[in-house]
Amino acid sequence: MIYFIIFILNFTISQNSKTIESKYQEANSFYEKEQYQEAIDIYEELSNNDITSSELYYNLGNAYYRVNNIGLSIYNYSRGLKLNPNDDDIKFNLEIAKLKAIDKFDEVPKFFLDDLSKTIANLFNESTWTIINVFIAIFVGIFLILFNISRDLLLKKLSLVLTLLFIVLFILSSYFGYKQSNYQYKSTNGVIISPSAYIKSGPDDKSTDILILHEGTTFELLEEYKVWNKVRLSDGNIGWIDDESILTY
Amino acid sequence: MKVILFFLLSNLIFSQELTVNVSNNPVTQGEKFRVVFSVDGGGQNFKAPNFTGFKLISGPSISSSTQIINGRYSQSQSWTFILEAPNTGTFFIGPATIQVEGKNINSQRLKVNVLEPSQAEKERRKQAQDEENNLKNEAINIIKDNLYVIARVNKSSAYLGEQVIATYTLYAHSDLNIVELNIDKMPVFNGFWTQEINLENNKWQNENINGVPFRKVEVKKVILYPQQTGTVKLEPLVFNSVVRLRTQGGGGSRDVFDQFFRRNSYRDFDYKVKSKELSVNIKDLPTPRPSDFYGAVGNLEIETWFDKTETVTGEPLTFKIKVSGNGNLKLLSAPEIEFPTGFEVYEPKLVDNSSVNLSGTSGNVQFEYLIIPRNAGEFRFGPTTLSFFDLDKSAYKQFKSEEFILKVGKGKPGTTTSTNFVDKEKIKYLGKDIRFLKSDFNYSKNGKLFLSLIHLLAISLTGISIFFILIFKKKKEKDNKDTNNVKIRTANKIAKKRLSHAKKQLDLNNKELFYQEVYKAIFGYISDKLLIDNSKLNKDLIKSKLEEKHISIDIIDSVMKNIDKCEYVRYAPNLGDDNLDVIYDEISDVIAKLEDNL
Repeated sequence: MIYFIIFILNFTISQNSKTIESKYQEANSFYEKEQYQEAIDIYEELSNNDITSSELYYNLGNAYYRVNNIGLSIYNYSRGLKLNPNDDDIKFNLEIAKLKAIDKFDEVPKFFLDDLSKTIANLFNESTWTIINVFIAIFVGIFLILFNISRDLLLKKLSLVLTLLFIVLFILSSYFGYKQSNYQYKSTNGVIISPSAYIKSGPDDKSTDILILHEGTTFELLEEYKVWNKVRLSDGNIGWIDDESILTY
Repeated sequence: MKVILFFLLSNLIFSQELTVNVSNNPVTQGEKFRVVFSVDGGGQNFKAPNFTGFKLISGPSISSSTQIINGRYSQSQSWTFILEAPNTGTFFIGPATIQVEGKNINSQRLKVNVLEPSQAEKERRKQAQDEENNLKNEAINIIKDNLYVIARVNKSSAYLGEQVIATYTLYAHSDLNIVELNIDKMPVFNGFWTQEINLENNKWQNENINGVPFRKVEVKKVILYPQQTGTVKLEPLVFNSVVRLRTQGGGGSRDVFDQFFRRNSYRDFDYKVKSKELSVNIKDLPTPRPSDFYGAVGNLEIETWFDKTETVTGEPLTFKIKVSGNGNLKLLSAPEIEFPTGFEVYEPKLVDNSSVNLSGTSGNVQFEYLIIPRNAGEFRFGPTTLSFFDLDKSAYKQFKSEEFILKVGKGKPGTTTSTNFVDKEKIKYLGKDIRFLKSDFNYSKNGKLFLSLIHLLAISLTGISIFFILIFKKKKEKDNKDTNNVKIRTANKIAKKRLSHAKKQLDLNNKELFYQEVYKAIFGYISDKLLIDNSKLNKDLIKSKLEEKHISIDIIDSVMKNIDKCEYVRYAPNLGDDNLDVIYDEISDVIAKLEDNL
């Protein structure tokens, strides 16, 4: 009975994955033929299909870059980088796309602990963190049991130390996993996709304009209120911007 | 006589000497005289003395002469100075030095008496001086009316920045014999920015002034742009001239020689030709000045336009401002124009089409603003306003441009000129293209894994398993402990029970069963007490375990002996000792002792 269910499941997944895979390759071949718009249409269709894939976002970013749509290019590279924080190709292309953005800011240096914890969190993507987290939990159990049943004093001591160590590791991996999961699945950043957009002092149309930003400028998302987003720019400026001219990731 | 002798002597002793002579001694005050140093042969490094008390008029003039007399060759060199004696008294002409054949030769120190001039001499000199002065004054009076410079300005009052033309004209009588004419001092116009008008091709012109024929020439013409308010002075222009006039006889010195030559002769007179000082009153421009006023003053026209109003990103546009007319065009500064954001604005370029002519600066100047749109869209620009000061109306006049609508489309990819990349860190990416597609494809449809059901399930399963394993282990331990305790506690009881069974068999004289019971009693007792399973128990184990528990050897021996006995009887029932009472007592005794010690 169980084998049968697995078989059915396998079959549907493989059936599905076949069409997804072939569509992906089709889009790639459009891209290679420099038919970027056709490639974009297919990539977008795939990404709307509840699929998350850093490769897909990367290729989509490339296609948008080729048609000079820098805002969407940066958006997709950033999405891809979130899923795979250590991918050199994504980092490289994102850097190049950002060069084409109009606004240039002086970056405000970040608090080094924030930076450190982000770097650690970025060592793995969230699913890897989850797996690591579970394995560490299992190790905690193993050493706890070993501690309890062992009659040898040395073994008992060693297993106690290891238990405590793995409890600490469990807490850390939970923290970083949670952080990475939030980072990956909640919108933490955004990019401007319209040619220009005003940053306002408050969340309504009548507020004064603080700055005018242009396509491709990225920012940190702090808060959302109705259609307004409170954002922090890389130079430290804070303001509100409406939903229409941005995409968050 | 003494001197001559000395001379002869010295001549004999020294082959060469430095002699000094003066033209007259004593001299009168104010007289000019000559001092000559001479040496036979030749010398080097002549050093003149300090002529303290005298005024050096000229010199030294060096002369050398070579003589051949009666076949004898001689050579001499001399240095001549002309001195004047300004004061009376006695003065010395110090020794001069010369190097001859490596030796320094000094001249003698010469005493010169300066005497008061005689009364007659004084009078003569004074008269000559007066006559000379009279002549000069007379000459200057004549020259003054026939050689002059007139400075003129075209207006005596002007606004700041308004052009004022200053002209310097030289007039000379047609018959005046001008030997020399040099500009001594050109005027400097402080408080003005100036623009010189080129007069190189100007020629002398004839003009009748009050019936007198004159020649005139414009020497300097300059356009002045006032830079400060108030009464500003224009410096005069000065010429140095030498004019030759014919002097009539009689006058002059009484010198026969002079008189002879001066009669009906010409004489040159130095004369400074100087224009009069002028001043111009400069008025400030009316205040308040408009904020869009950039200093333009004159009769002007302004135009503005874009070279094109439709472009694509990265493709530059030019905004032009043209100021034309007559005014201070050369002094204009580029107006500050505010362009819509999103345009890269470059420094404006000035195109000067103005020229300077006799009526001032006219023509046009253009300011060209190069701007490059960085993003697409429709931008409104203007209207731009610019003010200038209109001299005709003596008021500011504002120019207002039309409103421009700039349409910027998206440029073709790659055509965007990237000029604003200055970030050092990012420079390494310049000119690089993005990397190629990824062909491998990993995707997931399940989305978030952390804190998902699977994650939580896995963690809780792990936790629950640990929990149950530990609980199970604990419980088992506890159970074990409980049974052991019961065993230990009841060991004696069971042993006693068995012993009482044995006693019953003893009474019935049932030997085989008796042994069976006592064996069970002692063996079971030890098994329960030491928590060792009955089947695993043997004599060696009992011995070692009891030794571990520090039971005395007597007791252990006794236990061993009795167990041996029981086993012996069990396997060979007929050979057993018949003294069953003793065995019974001994075993009861051993169990009691063990009970005390365990």
